[in-house]
Amino acid sequence: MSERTNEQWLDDLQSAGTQRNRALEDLRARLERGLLFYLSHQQGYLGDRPAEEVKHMVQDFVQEALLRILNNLNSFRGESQFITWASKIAARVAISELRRARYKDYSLEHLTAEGEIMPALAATALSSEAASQPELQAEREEALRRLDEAISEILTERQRLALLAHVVDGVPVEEIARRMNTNRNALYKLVHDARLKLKRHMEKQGLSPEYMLALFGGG
Amino acid sequence: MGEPQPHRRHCGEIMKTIFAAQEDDITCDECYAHIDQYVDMLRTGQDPAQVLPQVKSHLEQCRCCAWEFQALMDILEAESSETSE
Repeated sequence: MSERTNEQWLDDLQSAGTQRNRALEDLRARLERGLLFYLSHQQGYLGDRPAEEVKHMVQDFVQEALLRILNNLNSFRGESQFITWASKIAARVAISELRRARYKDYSLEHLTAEGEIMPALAATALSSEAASQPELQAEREEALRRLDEAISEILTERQRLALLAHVVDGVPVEEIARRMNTNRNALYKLVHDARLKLKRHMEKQGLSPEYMLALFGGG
Repeated sequence: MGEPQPHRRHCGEIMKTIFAAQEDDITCDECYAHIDQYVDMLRTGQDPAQVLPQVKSHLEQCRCCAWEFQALMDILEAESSETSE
């Protein structure tokens, strides 16, 4: 298959008849190939699904991606290879669906209940290394207690929910956004603002980012 | 590869997510708009951080976008290795 230039891709996909169909099928084949390889290595999200089922999923994802590509050809700026731009769209379609399926049973309800999040985390997350060093353990517990206090006192309820769901529970922003009736951008900004608020607040209390990162080995 | 499983994350990861947050950050949409250019520059041996420093910074702060970025790299790698056969 000879490689099309960006201009050739655009011309062919915006043409009619055989020329367009051939370009569509070439694009479909390339996107399916890339996505099939990628999804075949995502056992964490796909479990033990049979190969045939994964293949059908890929076909569905690529079909959806092709629709989006064709509807957005005018937004391609030529700053990358056309295949890269198209693959970006296909990747987002696939990953969004995987996330939706993976987190379908996740609820924010457990985060709306009162209670300490960080100290509870500490009880389960302290390493054996910390357990054998009582001073380190005490220092970590105190830092977590103050962080938990800050989360309760300085964040809005929406910031608190979004932050805990994303940062503690590891839920993707678009899944949290769906549950909070907003969009991915707005949710990311909500979480980002919350992170900055906490960082500045803790620093004012004498707990610098460098100290916190070093204390918990997150640096 | 991929995002963490939906269980409580390790304290170190949580601290890094909170305390490594940078003041200036672009939105996920802004990152997505330029990620194809970013990836192509990487794949051709260029340093995209010189041209798109905010994309690099956002990828360091947003796990969701970082996952999509890595997925795109993997997909293109697979696609190009088959095309060259």
